Amino acid sequence: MTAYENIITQKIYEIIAPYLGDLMAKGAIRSQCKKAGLDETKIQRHDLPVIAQNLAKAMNLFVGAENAQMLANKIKAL
Amino acid sequence: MKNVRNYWILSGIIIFFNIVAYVFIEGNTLLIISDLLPVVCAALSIMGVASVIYYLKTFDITKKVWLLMLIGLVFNFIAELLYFVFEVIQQRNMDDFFPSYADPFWIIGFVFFFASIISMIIYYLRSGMPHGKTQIYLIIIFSTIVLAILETNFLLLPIARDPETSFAQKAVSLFYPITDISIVCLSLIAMYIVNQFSKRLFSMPWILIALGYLFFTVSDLFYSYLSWQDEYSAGNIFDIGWNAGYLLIGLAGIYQFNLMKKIKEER
Repeated sequence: MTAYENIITQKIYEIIAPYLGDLMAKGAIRSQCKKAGLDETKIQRHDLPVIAQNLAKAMNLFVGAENAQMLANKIKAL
Repeated sequence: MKNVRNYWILSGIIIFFNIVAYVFIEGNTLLIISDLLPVVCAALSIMGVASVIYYLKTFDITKKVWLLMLIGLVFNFIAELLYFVFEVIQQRNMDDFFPSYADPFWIIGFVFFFASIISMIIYYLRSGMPHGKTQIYLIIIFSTIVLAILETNFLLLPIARDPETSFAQKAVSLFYPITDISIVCLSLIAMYIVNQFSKRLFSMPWILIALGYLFFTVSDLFYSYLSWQDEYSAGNIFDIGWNAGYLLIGLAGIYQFNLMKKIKEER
């Protein structure tokens, strides 16, 4: 498992990596943070709702809205 | 995953039976098998994709993409059924009956397939997920252009210039290969996108859909060429591409259903 120095980033990674795989999970975190104007190495708790929603929207296509929302809720609850 | 295994086994049996029939059976029996199998395979694909629609409660992009595919399959099923009725039950000579009343259904079905796959790609590219390497997209587009040029030279232009072919025959004969090229391009792009996921369960549905469309394309190209040459007859080995295409798309639906169910159970 990839280790991010930022514990929140690492936990987000641990939630989505089992579905997306290592490479895509890292890519998804990077691109969603960039989209939200955030630095992936400096994610803070108050950034989680926006990251969670963006990731849910992106994963929706592959797992359906309900499952994507469930993953988003897990991220929001970190 | 039991349903996936059963569907694979069933698909394998159908394709094996299909090959055996083409090798060992002749005449009217081959005609019936050849026209009936696409009806069966289209029905199986509808069942597979319908399971996804049934599972998705929210009408969002995911449901829209799969619903478009399902509608396309229903049109194809009607087309296959009509073709079976015309050739087997009414015993019409389909060489003299081209384009038949089944062709508009295949054409409409294609429009829905196109809409489904383009919606998926556009949504993905806008979703903020990693796009992958731009070079790969360029290689796919370039390869498609080369394929289109070759196809135009060796198939489309000769058909368009053939004085013995009627306008309607030309229009339908040209429609399939032209539109198939666009589907090939989109399928390869979809395949590249989902191949970036290292988790096969996640990428499998779209890999199978893309493969299904590729099988359709190969059969369509042979069908257009052979029809134009008046050499197409029921029981052609290239028909397997349509059957395999249907089965793969149905299988994609089963995989998608299992993926969503698995994630829900892990909650």
